[in-house]
Amino acid sequence: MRILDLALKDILQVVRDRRSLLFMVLMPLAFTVFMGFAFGGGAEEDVRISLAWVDRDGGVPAARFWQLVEAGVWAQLVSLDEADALSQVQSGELDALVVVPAGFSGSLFSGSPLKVEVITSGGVQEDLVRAPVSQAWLKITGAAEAARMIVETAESPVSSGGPAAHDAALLDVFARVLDEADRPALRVEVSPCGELERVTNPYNQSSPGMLVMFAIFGLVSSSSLLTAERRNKTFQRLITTSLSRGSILAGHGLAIFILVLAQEALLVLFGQLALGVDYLREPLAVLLIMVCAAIWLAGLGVLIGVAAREEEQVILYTMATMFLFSALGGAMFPLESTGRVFAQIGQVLPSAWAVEGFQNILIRGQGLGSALLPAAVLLGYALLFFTAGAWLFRRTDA
Amino acid sequence: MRAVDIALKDLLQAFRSKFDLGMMVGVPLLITGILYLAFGGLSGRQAALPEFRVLVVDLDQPPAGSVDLGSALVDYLADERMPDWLIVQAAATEADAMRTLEARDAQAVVIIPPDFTAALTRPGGDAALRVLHDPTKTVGPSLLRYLLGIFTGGVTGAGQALEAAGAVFAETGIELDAVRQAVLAQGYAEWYARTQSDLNHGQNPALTFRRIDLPAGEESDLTRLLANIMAGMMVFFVFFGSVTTALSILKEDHEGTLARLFITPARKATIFSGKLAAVFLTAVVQGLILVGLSSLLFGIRWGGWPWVALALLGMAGAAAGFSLLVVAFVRDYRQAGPVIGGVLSVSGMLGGLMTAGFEGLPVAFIRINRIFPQAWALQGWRQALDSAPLADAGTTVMVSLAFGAVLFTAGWLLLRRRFA
Repeated sequence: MRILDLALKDILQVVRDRRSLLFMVLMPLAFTVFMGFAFGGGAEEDVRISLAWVDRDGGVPAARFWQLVEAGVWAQLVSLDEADALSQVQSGELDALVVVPAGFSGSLFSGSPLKVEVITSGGVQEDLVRAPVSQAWLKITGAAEAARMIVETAESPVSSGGPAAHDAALLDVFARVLDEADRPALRVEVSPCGELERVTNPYNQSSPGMLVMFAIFGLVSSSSLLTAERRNKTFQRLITTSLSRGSILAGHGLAIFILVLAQEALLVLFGQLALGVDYLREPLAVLLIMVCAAIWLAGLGVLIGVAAREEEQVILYTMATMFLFSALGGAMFPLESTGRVFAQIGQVLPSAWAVEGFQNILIRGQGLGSALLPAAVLLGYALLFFTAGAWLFRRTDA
Repeated sequence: MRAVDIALKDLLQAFRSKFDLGMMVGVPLLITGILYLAFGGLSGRQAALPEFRVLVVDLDQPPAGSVDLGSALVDYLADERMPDWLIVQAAATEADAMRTLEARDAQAVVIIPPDFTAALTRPGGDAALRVLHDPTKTVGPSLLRYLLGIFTGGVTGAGQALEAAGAVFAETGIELDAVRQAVLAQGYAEWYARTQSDLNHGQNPALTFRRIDLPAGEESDLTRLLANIMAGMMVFFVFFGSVTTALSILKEDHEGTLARLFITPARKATIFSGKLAAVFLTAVVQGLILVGLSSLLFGIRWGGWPWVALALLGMAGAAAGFSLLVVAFVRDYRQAGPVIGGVLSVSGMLGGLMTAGFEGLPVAFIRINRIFPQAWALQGWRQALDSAPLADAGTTVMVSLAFGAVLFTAGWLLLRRRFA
């Protein structure tokens, strides 16, 4: 019962403090809306690389080559003077420069096309450029090769009339083959698992991300109670009572757990009602992740409260933890857009598991089963942080 | 002299506090550092793409004696020359593959239908490769689509060539007999196999890729992006540091030392001048430290000294005026935390500090930015980064200082009334 009394005292203290309203409610609401607005949606249609295109050839096949690259959803093309383009690629303003050599169109029909040079910026992963350019190049050279073979097979009736007529015939057949390629016999149908609405609502990413981020930030209010107790000497009074040190920590931990859970509930409701994030499609799974995340954060809050000597240190430790856990854990931006090593480090953090637990339900459309592993990992982290907090508590107390 | 003494005392207090130093210097560098590592720093200038695991379900049942296009696709995807981020494994059934996908042990599933070969080898037949992917992923699925497109181009190219040949031959009155069809199809298939193999990897690749790095000493686009983010963080935390330093007015009032100061011969104006000078100097020193450390750690080039000096002057002036006004609105020292946190966060967000690295923001948002002093301080740093004409940088500084002066006057009037 005393643990409950202690927890109730902490909760009353936090709720009565106006800071709580700001850190635990207003700021997360504002940032959730802001981040969703900033990141937008419709990721499938994103243009991810910018290509400068220098056409030294000027022929029809070279122009079709440009069109084929541009038709993909992947690249945005700009036509620039070669020197400007090279300078912009060098500075990283553009991702790559494609140089179509003079004589390219003619060489296509000879069976030995001239080399196309692709110059990539030092700041871009080469595969992002290689994929769309290679695919378009194969289409264009394939159509030219087919045209060459068809015209050669048809022999005199098609190619009679001299070199000019021969070239015109090649171009005509080339265009026909490309037209056929627009109606492919083999299609590649790429689609995300689940409902499109879930994928395109940008708040499905930002709402759980900000929830995790500001649940950490909310520890500023709750963790500082432990520090304040030591400063006000009420802690010294507490340990003269029959309450064990473990019970004192448990009482504070329970208060942090309830406060974080309440904050999460508020943000979940806001997401559901104002932003169209369908948390309630799997209420049990969402509740499980919320509870386990709150237990993990209670452990973290206790550790911060014990480690910090002054309330100011609580703010510093909390902010540093918040930025590290939320950026590395994919709460601020998707880990997919980062480098491999960063993503691998981030994926082991508790924040990443909390975000993943929510994403399994909100974006992947999965059920309660998908919440079990993230929940278990979060509980593991909670145990780790509580143990570290208790150890530090005993050590500093001694 | 007394004003200088007060300023030096406050300045020393600010920089002796580990908390203040952490917030004023550590946190902005930490945030920029995390972003630096996220988008390239951990793998040099070119961050390797995260691994993308693909399961291939080959349900194809090719007709007897026919080529096996399903197996050909599996071999193509599993080729060792494929990019190292692509990890391909076979799955026995669609259900197995989907279970693995749902368990997040794979990010995409490629399903080759049972009539794959049969449909594609039949005149007029068509087929579809289905790719289902983890809906949280966008980069890997798009790249996979391109890689599959290269394969399908080869498979369907011969058929497309035959369709086009049929039309051409029909117009010219020549029969496209079976022999001619076979010659065309065989010729195209051989050409495609040879070309695809040599496309990027052969002795004499048709597409040559060359990477160009910046000449030594020049700034990359990533560094440029980080510079903008760092500028935003610097302005935010300099304003934070300034408000924290200005709080010494309320702290001294709370502890009773301000009342003691008032009974000394020093005039109130002198005391507040000293406090304001401390805020200004803290902002300048903090800005200088952040400029120096961010140059060293992230290679940010802030422009020449004239631009840095102008940007520092504008930022410190605006921050000093802003701080005094914020402090004047706070009723007591205990109330300072929430007011400062709220005001700094909201004005920083609306002043564009949280979106300093973003492009293509709505015009209305950019207009709103302009009514906050933080936006002008940020503009000063952007001009320093661009080495903009000094006249433009000067104008920005004048606007920042004007903001600072107006805010300072308002704050001063409020504080004078309070401590009358």
